[in-house]
Amino acid sequence: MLMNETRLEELLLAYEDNTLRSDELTEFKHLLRSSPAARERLVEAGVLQSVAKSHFFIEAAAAQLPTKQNRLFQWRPLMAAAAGIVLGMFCTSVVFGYVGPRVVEKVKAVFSEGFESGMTKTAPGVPRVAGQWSGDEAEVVTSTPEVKAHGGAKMLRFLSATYPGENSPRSQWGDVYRIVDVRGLAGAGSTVARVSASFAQGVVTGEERFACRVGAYALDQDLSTLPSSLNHTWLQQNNSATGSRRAVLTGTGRWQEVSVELPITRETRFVVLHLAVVQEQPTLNSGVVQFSGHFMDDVKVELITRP
Amino acid sequence: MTPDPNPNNGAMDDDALDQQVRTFLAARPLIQAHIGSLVRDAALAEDVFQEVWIRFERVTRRGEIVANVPAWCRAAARLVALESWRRQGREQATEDEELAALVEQAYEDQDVQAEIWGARSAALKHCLDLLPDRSRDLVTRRYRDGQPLAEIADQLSQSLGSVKTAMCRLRLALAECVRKRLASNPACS
Repeated sequence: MLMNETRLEELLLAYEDNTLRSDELTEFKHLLRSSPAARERLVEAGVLQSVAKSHFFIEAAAAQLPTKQNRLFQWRPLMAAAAGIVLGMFCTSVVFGYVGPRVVEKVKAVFSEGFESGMTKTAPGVPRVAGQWSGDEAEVVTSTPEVKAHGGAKMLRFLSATYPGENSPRSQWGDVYRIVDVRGLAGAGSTVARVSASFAQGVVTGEERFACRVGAYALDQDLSTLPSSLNHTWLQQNNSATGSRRAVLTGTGRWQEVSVELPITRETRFVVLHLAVVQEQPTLNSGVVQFSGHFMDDVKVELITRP
Repeated sequence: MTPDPNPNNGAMDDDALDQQVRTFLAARPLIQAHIGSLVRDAALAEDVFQEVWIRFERVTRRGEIVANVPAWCRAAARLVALESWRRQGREQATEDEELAALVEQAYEDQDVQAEIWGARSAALKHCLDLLPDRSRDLVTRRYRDGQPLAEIADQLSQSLGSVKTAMCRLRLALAECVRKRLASNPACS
């Protein structure tokens, strides 16, 4: 069977994003059923995903991976080496988590936000100073009938996937940012910053699907050197370490904690928190999402140091 | 204590277990790829892969011989993914059973030539290093950060169609680069 490579690629991309329509699903299954080459291409696409992820993650962060974990595996040298290779492929969190029970760790809380006092709404745009919530439109509210604040009486409500003055023609992301100052806080040994936040949603219609995302970027730069056009792309390209995690929001009024860890060093000056909700379905061709009831609470940054 | 009639048994077992771990490492690209294809969620794929390794390490530590490491890992991955979906109260990513079976078959097909995927992965890394900045940015967003096409389009203020086209071309170009690389280094293929 002759295979249209571009069409197969489109179907593979839709499969990977879980956005295959029913007619595409039928076409995709037919291709996989009838063509060994199509099945092999699916495997190739899977390998691309895993190889590219580890390849670019290692470029960004492997230099900061701890080097002492292997000696903690006492059983067999090859097993220890394999664990170092396998668990070190993607992120440091499980490396630490796996050996955690055998070492003493120091946990230092450096930031905690329950939105109980202080701010009332986000400042527009990506922040340029530490200690300020900014980003797309969001405001502090009290509990609603569907969603109770996650501890305390208040929480942050995402309002819009843009902010006044951005003039975005299309956006499904409600992003908020906070710069946390960690200068001089990395301990002796390996230190990771664990960033966590809790998200919840009110009632959504059957066709709607939302997700939340916790991202963090370690910056070695001083804030005065940041470009005037500071944006998400710049943060992605100029961090010394980064991590993100995304989770689909389910249920009504159910809080879901999402956390991410990233390695920091004595050179790390700031950690930029990027916390967001996104309307995944339906996708928009134009326009800006106005969130009907999406909330965040209990944002924390902890530094975990192991000798 | 009854003396061991064959004092070399322990060493033989160790060799077999070392070989088992080597087989896992050699099959790692396919194991990770299978998990990615199965769960289609970058963060969950990491969790599942790491849990599969921990379970594999546990059975190896106990001295159990796994006859077919890739097949064992695929089965373990399906189990771990199901447990994760249930724990999160989520539906599994592939509700269509026929599609799920076809994806499994795609990976089973490769068991007979698992060793070539190491060379393919090495060639792919070489090709990734050759990417121009714009393509590199696209690959980083897609694969390091796990962003869906719609999210990339949103962040780049481009249409979904143009990002999809760019990603299709990029992936096909990488596949062609890998083929050429392997053809020019037949010892690797």
